[in-house]
Amino acid sequence: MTIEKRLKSVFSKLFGVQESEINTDSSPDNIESWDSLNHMNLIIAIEQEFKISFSMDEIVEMLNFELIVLILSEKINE
Amino acid sequence: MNNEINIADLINSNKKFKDNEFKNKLNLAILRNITVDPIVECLINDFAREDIGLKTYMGDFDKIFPEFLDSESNLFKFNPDVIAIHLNLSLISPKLIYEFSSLNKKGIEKCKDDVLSYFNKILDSAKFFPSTIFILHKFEIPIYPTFGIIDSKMSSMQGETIASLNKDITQLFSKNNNFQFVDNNRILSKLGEDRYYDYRYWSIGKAPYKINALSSFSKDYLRICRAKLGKNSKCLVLDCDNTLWKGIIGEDGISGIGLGSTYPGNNFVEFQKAILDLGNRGVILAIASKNNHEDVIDVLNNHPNMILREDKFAVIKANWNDKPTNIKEIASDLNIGLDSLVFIDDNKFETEMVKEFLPQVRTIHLPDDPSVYRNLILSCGFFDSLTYSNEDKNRGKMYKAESKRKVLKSSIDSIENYFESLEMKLTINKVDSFSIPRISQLTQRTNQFNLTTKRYSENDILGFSTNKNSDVLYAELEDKFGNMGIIGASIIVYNNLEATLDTFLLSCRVIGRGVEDRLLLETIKLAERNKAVKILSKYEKSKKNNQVADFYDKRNFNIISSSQESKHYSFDIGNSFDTPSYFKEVNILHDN
Repeated sequence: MTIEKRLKSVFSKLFGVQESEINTDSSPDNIESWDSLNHMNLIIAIEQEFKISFSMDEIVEMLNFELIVLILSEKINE
Repeated sequence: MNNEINIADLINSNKKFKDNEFKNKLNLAILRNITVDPIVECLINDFAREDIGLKTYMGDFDKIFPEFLDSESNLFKFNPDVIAIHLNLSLISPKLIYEFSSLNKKGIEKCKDDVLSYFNKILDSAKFFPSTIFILHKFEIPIYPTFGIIDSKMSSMQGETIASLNKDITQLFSKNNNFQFVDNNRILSKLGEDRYYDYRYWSIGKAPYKINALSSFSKDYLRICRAKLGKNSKCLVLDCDNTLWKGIIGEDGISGIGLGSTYPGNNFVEFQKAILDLGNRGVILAIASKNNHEDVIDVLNNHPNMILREDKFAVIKANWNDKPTNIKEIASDLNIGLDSLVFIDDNKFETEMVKEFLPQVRTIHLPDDPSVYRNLILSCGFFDSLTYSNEDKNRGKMYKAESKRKVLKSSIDSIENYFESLEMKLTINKVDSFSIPRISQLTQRTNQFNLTTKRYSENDILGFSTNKNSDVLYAELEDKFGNMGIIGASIIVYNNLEATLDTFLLSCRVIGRGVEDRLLLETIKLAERNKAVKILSKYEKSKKNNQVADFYDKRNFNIISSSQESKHYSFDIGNSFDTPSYFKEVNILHDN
């Protein structure tokens, strides 16, 4: 499974949206339950799914779907 | 006990609980000066599993007293049943955490007094919420004190200062039962620094705790609320074999069971000590064991290393009846509800059966490793209460009830449905070189369900199996909990038109499930195929096989003669007796 697919699955479970509704434009602006409360849950869930640990610099950059994919790709290819 | 909590699974699971009708509902508010948001998903899940529907309110960051003092506040509108307050000491008293070495004795006292007056204000605010439960947290002792090694020694230093501050705080609320505490230090020591603290999130968003820590807080909140709702348990019902001691008393004898200062018996001594401690703080103790009553009493009173003597138990049900029936009687003897009972057994067959027929009873299935038993019973939280007094301590003694020894008929109607649900697969076969050792072992070791108690070596069994005039059959059982291996055997000896049942035995682990009937039937059918028209059998009385005295009588065998020591029977081929139909599979592997 690609990074995007796995990430969409996490998003879907966390925010209660269909995987098909998630794309590179997805952000707190267009996903209703993506608020600051859930943002922390999201980061934890991504760490648990990919079994990695983000640095603080990475966490503060993870503002929307596209950026998260970018950061994840860089991290996993390290 | 230290599993990783997966947040995505939690949130997913909580969606399923959303539409549930819960037996109890609670409003839980969280006031805080730090970020603890993921705890909400933990709480909803933990409470839902106890049939409590939770509504939560997260107060704004560092907004605590305004919520209490403003009668129009969101907190008041929320109408909380429970208010949990998360405070970080470094934010209330930064000097105590960040500048400790700059404080002299007076400075330390001032800091402590300031923190105490903060908590006094909280205590004052409680008058606006007279029936609400408040949950406070004890402050963590810093892992890395500025004073280094010496901080551990000197009572004037940081570790002891914060410990004594915690003590003063709990003292403040000692008279108000509506205030309860979570000891963060216990949870920190259980999880360890890496699984408790998240320094990244503390830095980014003032969120100091990892998800496992928040989950542990949530479980403590549940224990407090469960006690508040009166859902705690009063009585602990214990199995005996492989629960209170290693081994089976009816098979191993009092000197053969493991209970003492060496492995593995030492684990059971520790377990008994924990149970005794619970008994001494007011938990009622009872026994539900499938054993002869005398055997159990013998161990309780005469085994030198037994911690739990007979007088510690309010009720002892040791008989051959099913456990749900015994447990129902225990509840009725003690005049307490079934929902006040906790039942512990190492055998999943028993715990599942109790779950099936008495869903109100809390069950604990003991895993294979006895070194965890003590912690298991001490961490379950079922006996929590929000108060403690001398009356509680003496409660156990008030409940000593008459233990009824009469074996009553089972009151469970659909036992057959339960047996069917076990998906039992029975295999009956003639002995082979692989099974000879096990069958010989069974003849040596089986004492209770053994009709003639004849002991045979492997050579003896080999002899029976190779001889044309005899056969050895074994029964192997598997159910949905696992494969039990060979658990029964019969030896039949042919003599012209008669066949004699020399040996018929069953492992005590599978008594009462109908295996004996099927094994007997197949043995008789084999005899018939070997031209027998009549089966002869015998019950040879021993110290331990009293329970099978009527085994053949109940299966339409005719008594030819009987004495104090034995009974002789005959059975005409063509006769029949009831055999169970609930086995999922019966494999008869021998073809003659």
